[in-house]
Amino acid sequence: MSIDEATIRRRLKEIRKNLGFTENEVAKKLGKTYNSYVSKIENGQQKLNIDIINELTKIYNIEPITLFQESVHALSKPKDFFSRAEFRADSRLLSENSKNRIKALLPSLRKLGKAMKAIGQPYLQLTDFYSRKHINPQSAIEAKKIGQEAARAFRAKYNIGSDPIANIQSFIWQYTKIPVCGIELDRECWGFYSKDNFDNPLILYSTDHPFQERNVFTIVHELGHHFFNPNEGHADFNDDNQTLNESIADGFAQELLVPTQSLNEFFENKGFDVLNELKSRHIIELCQYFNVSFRMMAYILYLQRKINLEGYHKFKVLRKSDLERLNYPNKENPLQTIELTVYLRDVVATGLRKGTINSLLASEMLNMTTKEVEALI
Amino acid sequence: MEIVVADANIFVYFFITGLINKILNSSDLNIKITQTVYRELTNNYRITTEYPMLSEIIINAVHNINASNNLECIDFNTRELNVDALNIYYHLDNRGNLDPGELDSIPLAYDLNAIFVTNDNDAIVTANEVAQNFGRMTPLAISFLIFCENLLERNIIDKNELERINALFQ
Repeated sequence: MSIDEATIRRRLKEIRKNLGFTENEVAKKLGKTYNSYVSKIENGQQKLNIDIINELTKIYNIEPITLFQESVHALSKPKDFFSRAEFRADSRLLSENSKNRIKALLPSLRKLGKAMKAIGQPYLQLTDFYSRKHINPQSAIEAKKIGQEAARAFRAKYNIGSDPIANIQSFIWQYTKIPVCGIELDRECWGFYSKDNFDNPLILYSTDHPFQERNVFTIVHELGHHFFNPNEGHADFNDDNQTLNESIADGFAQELLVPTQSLNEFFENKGFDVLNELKSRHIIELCQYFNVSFRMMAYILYLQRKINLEGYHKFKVLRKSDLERLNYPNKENPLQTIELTVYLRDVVATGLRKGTINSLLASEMLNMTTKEVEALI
Repeated sequence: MEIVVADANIFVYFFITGLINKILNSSDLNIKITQTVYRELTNNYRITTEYPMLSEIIINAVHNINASNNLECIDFNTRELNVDALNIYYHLDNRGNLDPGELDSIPLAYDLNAIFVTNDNDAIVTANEVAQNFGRMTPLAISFLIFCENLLERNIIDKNELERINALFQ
């Protein structure tokens, strides 16, 4: 299990040589005036510490953890935030930059989890609102139906009716207590769902891809993963292969955002022949009503047989400039990025009001003085 | 008893209960903190605003301005560590969900063969799990309240003082 020090030193030497660096070059990069510095590290005459390892691995452009490779499995819990994640595109991984941005959120996520425990508030699970025992779809259609059924059960459980959801982050937080954060991810990555080592879930959406109006769908899709694949994480890329898990999450997102009943009522009120008279501006009207993207709306209309395949393709290929002429997307109501500390403050304030968190603990959690904390109540 | 305190709040608890000087002057204790925890105690907004005297006590103790004290601040990043401690550090860093103070203090406690004291159950579980993976037979980490009970057993604090500490968490 343990790796000996000689192995670490040997690895440092091998990596340097493979990269074609001389000892002198590395010493110079480290700002050392004596050339034997690197040789001393590699030969055991210079003791190892965090600074030395960090500096060398930065120059060699490797993660320090790779020096300790053999013991990775022994030390890492099998289910930490990243190892839970199943990346649908086989060879695709999140970049180190994205990973580091996500890692920076994890201490706050744990703090939020502690606050949630302190107030006795569990995260919402599928079984809290959906009673179907065996979820084992055999086809994408069946999977989508299960997702839609669960979304209807969710709305029924909380008497939400079939109204559109005005603010998706507030909605999810109110009913599920799962935080949703916008973060700069790789451009191809739409969103991410996972849990940390302590089982605290987090939904992330990308603030960096070119179709920001799609984020609402991405967020609810990731919520679908939380309900249907609670012990796995998911990173959703824009060229993913569709799997049954994805179909369930898609069905859930479609029905939660655009309830079939609500859509039918919309068309009944319009009173026109949908198949023949539907225009782009009607879809944009629907987008604004349901707060979803144009393409998603067109797809839902196709799934609901409101338009045929030909019609769907016609709308699907509309260029961004065509849509912009019709005042789409509506820029007046962009998704607000909510920091994890905002969620934390909400939970701590609840705990203070309930008396399950005292002001000392609250001040620690929020890094506020006790006076400031008392003002939250 | 050699301990590594990973959580600045532990000093806050001793300060609030009027025990800080007693703890820092106990000859039975050898307390280590990393620079991350030291910075928190001396620079953190909440601590310096609400407990400015505590920051002063810590600065004095670390720089040995008062005669007898047992608090030592360790520069973790430049300290020579055994390879297992380095290994623990990078694995915990890779997981990402520990606070910086905990991240430094767990490998330091392992390296020193000391006890890691925190008020965070998640950090205790993590520390004991990694120490066990490296063959340590006794727990690496204990909670603050268990530590205080230990202080009572060693007659460093008395029963009333322990009750004062417990009252903080009611």
